[in-house]
Amino acid sequence: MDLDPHAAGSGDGASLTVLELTPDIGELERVYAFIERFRAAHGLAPAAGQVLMLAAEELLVNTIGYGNLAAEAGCLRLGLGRDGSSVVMELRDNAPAFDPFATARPDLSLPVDSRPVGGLGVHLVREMTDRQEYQRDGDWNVTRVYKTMDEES
Amino acid sequence: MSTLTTRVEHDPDGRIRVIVGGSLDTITAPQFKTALDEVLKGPCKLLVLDLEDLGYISSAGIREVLRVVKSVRGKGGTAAMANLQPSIRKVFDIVKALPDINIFTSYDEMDAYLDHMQRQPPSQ
Repeated sequence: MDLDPHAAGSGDGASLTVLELTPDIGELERVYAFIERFRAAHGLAPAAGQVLMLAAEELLVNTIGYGNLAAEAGCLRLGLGRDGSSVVMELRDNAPAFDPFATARPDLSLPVDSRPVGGLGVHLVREMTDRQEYQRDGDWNVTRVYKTMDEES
Repeated sequence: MSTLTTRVEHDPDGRIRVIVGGSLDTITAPQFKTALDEVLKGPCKLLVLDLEDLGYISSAGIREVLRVVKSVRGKGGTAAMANLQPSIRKVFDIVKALPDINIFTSYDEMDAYLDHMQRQPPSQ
């Protein structure tokens, strides 16, 4: 079972449920399932699950694609927790320091035909979530996004 | 489970409708690319991506859709999307990919457009 009962704490004190991942894109299947279980357990609307999946996918694809992570246990962790009315999602990886939110925004004024491919993922995360944070914690990149949630019922 | 379905309908006038369902994401984008590359081997006057059954799209999916749009235009054709769910539409809105692509909100609207296209003399 990939739900870690010994939840790690986030910087804001929210208790997180953590999924350990290997740096492989195929792990996204487990990530989607993990998020869906969290969503259902917390009574969140399906749309909220989609936002969390999108944020997780975009951040993981960046980290796995560009982080040169060694395929060792525990090098990549995705945590989910409640922080008041928000959900916090935390990604920890031990790749070289990299702040995804410090990257330049893509030029969306260009027509689709002349726009360079790529650069859209982090922009989506910025726009779909309410707050984004990055910090370097020892050997770890810690990236957090917050999304204010409505209860389903 | 991340799954994608594509169903291709050709009509005799060279119009192609691709009905896309499920999830268009990092996992399924290669499958989408393979299916659409096959479709785009032939001539294509009008390609409509019908997204009514698409529940999730990420930037990997958006990139593939934009690639298809470029490819259709490269052949001198028109690309369009129809029946976007609100959550899908929001993602396209955020990346501002919509102004350049024809969007139909219903089959009726699409059919009206197609009939209109049909009556146009070929542009040379």
